Amino acid sequence: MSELQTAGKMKASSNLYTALLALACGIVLATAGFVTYKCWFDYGTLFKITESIR
Amino acid sequence: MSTLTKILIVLVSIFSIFLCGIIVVYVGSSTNYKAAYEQQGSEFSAMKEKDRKLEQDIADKKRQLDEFGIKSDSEISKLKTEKTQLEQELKNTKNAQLAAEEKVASLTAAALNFEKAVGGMEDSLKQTRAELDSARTENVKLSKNLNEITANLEEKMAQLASVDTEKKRLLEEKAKLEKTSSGAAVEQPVTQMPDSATAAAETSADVKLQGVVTAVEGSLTTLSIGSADGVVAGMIFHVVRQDNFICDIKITEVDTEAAAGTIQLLQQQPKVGDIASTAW
Repeated sequence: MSELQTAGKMKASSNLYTALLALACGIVLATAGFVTYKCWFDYGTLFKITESIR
Repeated sequence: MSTLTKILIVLVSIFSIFLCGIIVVYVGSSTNYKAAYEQQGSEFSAMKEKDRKLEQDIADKKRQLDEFGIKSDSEISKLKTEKTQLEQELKNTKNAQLAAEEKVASLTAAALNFEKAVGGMEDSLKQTRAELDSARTENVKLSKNLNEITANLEEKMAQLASVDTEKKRLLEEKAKLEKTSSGAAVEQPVTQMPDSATAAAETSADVKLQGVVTAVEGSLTTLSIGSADGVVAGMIFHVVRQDNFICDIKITEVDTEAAAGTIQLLQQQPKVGDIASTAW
């Protein structure tokens, strides 16, 4: 068992790599939000790109 | 943390940043197909509406074209009828023109012939006038000769009368001489011997002759005196009425007891009973 586990509570082994992961997750979430925004305001839906208006 | 984990974290971070960047660029620059579709749909509707209007216009135009065609056909038939009538009138007019030209030609020929005839008549008129003038001149000469012969005849008659008187006187003297020789009384001769032969009546215009107008017919006036009174052709009598000058009469025809002449210098119309004299 590792030193981190023995301490009784979770502790990041490196804040640098944690920050990188957080940055990557934030970028992915921001991208998803942007795509969602574009899809919703352009087409009125998130998943059906083409919809007959007739 | 192992080294592999660190490497994986770094790679995941870089890949996620790269991929998210690509996605953002793509989505940001992508075309809004819904708006384009709606725009195309609206344009399609507008085009359809326009097409409907154009079809309606075409139908109207077609109907108008049909009506115009029907009207044009009727007008064409009417114009054809008028054309036929006008062609017929043109033919009639040409025929009339030809007839009129022929008539004009005949009238022109007739006018030329008439002009020639008039020219001939004028020539004959001139010739006749010349003959008339010569005849008048001859008439004047003959009248003059006649007057001279008449005067000579009257003179001879007067001489003959004097000779008769002389003869009678000589016979009486002879008878008287016979009586004287036989012792009878001398008687005076009955017939007186004239001193000389009686001269013929003077016909000169210097002798005043006076007569009366006996008839008036137009410009011809007849006087009551004639050649026995000494009137000769060519004499001019002055007609007066109560000291008023009426006209002159130039004697053209002379009879023994009457003379006739034409009126000249007419002031008033002469009447029967007006006095005509050769001197004032």
